[in-house]
Amino acid sequence: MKLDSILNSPPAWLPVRNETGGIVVGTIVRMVRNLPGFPFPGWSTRESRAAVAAKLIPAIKSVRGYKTSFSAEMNTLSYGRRRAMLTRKLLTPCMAARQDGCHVIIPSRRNMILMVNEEEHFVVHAFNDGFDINRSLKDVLQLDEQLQEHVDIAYDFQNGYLTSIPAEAGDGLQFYVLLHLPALTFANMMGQITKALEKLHVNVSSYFSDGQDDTGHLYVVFSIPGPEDSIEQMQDGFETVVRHLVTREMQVRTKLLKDPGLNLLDAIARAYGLLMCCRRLSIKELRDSISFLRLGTLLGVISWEEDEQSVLIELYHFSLAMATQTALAEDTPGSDLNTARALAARDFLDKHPHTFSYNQA
Amino acid sequence: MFLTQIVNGQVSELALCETCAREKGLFDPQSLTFAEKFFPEEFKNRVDKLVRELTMGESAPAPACGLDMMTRCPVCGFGVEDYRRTGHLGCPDCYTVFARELDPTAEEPERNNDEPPSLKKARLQKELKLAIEREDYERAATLRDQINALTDNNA
Ligand SMILES: [Zn+2]
Ligand SMILES: [Zn+2]
Repeated sequence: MKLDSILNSPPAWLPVRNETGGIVVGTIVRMVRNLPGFPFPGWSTRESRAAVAAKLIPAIKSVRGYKTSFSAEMNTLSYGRRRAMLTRKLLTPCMAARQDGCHVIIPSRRNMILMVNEEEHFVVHAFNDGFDINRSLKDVLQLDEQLQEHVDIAYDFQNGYLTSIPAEAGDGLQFYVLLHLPALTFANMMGQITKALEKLHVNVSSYFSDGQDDTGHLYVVFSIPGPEDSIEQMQDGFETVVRHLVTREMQVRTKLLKDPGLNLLDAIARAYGLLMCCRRLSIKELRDSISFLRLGTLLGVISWEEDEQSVLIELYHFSLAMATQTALAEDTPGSDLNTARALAARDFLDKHPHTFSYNQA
Repeated sequence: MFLTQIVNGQVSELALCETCAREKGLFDPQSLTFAEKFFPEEFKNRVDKLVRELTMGESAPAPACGLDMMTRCPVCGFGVEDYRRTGHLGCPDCYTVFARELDPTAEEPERNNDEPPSLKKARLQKELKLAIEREDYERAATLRDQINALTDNNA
């Protein structure tokens, strides 16, 4: 099945280089559109969803240069596959719970996912690695323009693009940035930051919104569409917030570099010890430990013989591969990956020669 | 019966009684099985709340079935009450049908006070006719009062 190959290859939002200290992982731009004359998915019937899909899917396929890599009606996807796609941001949580008449399509470039009958009739998430809203924004707007040659989209001059929640009508765009913030998390600052950002129409949630334990110090920061903002203002404000967050994380890291403190050194040492010696390992333990391993690398507690930047990226891939495997295993009741996971973790450290500094503290 | 809208992991509901849901063809329990799996907490809270309302009879101000006097969208059957309860709309055409509800300030931008009473009356009568067609009797009552006041003043 094509989906397996997609689940086994790195997602488009994972960085290839480790810029900004690996703080910004990737960017997602969300675009929503609706068809006039059909109830929104939340108020739909099976028949109306099918009618929306019958209009949208051929329109998508007639977009120039478009090729499908994977396409499925939600009712054909197992629970485990949905979980695995969620983990890799190939589905939204809303979409993961949907069924008849709801379709997910991944184009062959794999730089976006297209969803029919998600929260709105048509939802696109475009990805790129690192912090670059413009790149994905260009992709979705281009698709939008071409799609509108083939299908009518609900729009009026007063409200803009019409959405199921009137407060969100307008440009139909939203920005998401994936961030790794171990220092701010360890300094217990995330709660306070989350509260402050709400006032700026920016929300923070944990990254693995897949129902598994939310760990790994990874976050999704996203813009809340406000009716009064223009898209430029929204992008501007959002980028400022993200840059501010990156700076704060950097500052705390610098502080930790001077004086990590016994608690942090202990946490890093425990994580390392666990990965080195465990015989059974839960996915939560794995995600947490890998995050501390990354932080330990940045603080010089762990040094790798290979290029440090590429090991840091590999750690992301490894963690994600393990999470995907765990999700897929949910289709097999009673399966237990704890032993295999422990083996894989020890194997990873074995294959990446390194030294752990016992001198500090 | 209810359908879900799940936004960034938050479940909000469009609640309907089962009869209404069936009439609208919305009775689709299959669509809820995965909602329960992916959002067990929210789902449980939602069901708990519903059960509490049903057993204690203190339901949210639900529109009386059959006696429903609210504006309904002719395209999707969504009612103004549904919007007030959920903050969602039923379809893109709801924006036109519920324009007044969505932006009450846009309603009557204090039209020129020098609108001649005869013109104003004609306008209000036209609006009244539309309101009755939409079965928006609340609005119709307001308009009727305004027309009566106008008639009294000019009498
Ligand atoms: Zn009813
Ligand atoms: Zn409607």
